[in-house]
Amino acid sequence: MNNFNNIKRFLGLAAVVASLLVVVTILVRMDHGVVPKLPVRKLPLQVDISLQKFHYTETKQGVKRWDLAAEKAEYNKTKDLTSLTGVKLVVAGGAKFGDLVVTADRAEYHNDTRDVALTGNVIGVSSKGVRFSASNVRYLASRYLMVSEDRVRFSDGGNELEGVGMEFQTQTRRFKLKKDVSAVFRQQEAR
Amino acid sequence: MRSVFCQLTLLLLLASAALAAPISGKEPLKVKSDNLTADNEKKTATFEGKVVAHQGELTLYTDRLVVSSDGEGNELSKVEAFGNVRILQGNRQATGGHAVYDPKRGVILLDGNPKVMAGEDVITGKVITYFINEQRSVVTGGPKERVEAVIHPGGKNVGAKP
Repeated sequence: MNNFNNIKRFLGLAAVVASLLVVVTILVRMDHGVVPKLPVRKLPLQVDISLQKFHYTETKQGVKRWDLAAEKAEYNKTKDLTSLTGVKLVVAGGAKFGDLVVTADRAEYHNDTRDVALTGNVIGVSSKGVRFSASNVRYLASRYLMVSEDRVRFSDGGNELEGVGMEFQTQTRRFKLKKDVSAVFRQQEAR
Repeated sequence: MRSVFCQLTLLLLLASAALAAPISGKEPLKVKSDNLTADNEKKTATFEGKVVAHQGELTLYTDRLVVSSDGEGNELSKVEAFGNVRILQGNRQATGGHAVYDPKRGVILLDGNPKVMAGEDVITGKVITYFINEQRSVVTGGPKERVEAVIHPGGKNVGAKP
């Protein structure tokens, strides 16, 4: 009889221990099963909003003027400007001139003036085949004007134009090279 | 009279050589200037300020040079120089106030008191025109000068009696 009571106590204790083990196991597994936290990079102090695949379109009276796209955009509220990387600016020229596509490594978009300061491997290509390149180009949105104080190189077919300082009117495709100009025209044979 | 004509013919030959030989080639036209204005719609490039253009052995100096092109391949259609035009090749020199080269027609026209010099020899007229493909020059005099000449540089009668 005494032995029987001992067995009952032992079984009861075993049941309690087993229950505890089950609870502990469940708790442990639940803890391990928690989705790890995403490694969200803390934004620099001067950045208020960071966006991937940024895209902005400027229209006037329902007509698209230009598109600004970037791989990444960081907005600084204090300075009211957006820093962009992997930039593509497309200025619409209508049926007459076609689009002008300008790419650059980086850019700063000034929200107040809507100007875009492009830096690093700035390359512009028009639908007519005119191509220009510079290290820095600033797009003045209100005047539809691209300006640069650096050396700028144009090419159009076999012809090449180069100079320091540029003013490129995107709506008429007229441009000026301000100083130190050199050009090469590869002439066709006279007929 | 014969001697004068021979001198005139020689000078015209020199003028032809100075104006024609380098431009008729396929060599690229190279231009340097202070500034440039280009119009893609009109297909013109206007060089201003100390303009120097080279093609082959020829060098052209002027105040303003307008290069025009047309067609899909941007073929040069006209090269026009304005103000203090000076064309050099070796010791030969041509000057004038205005010059036009039409590559399609193969014609160079120099006016604005044009003058061609070779050494101490000088020839002047109202207009000097050189036809590249035909290898002949025409010098047209003004109302007072009445000078006009046509020569064939490659011809066997060059320098012969008139």
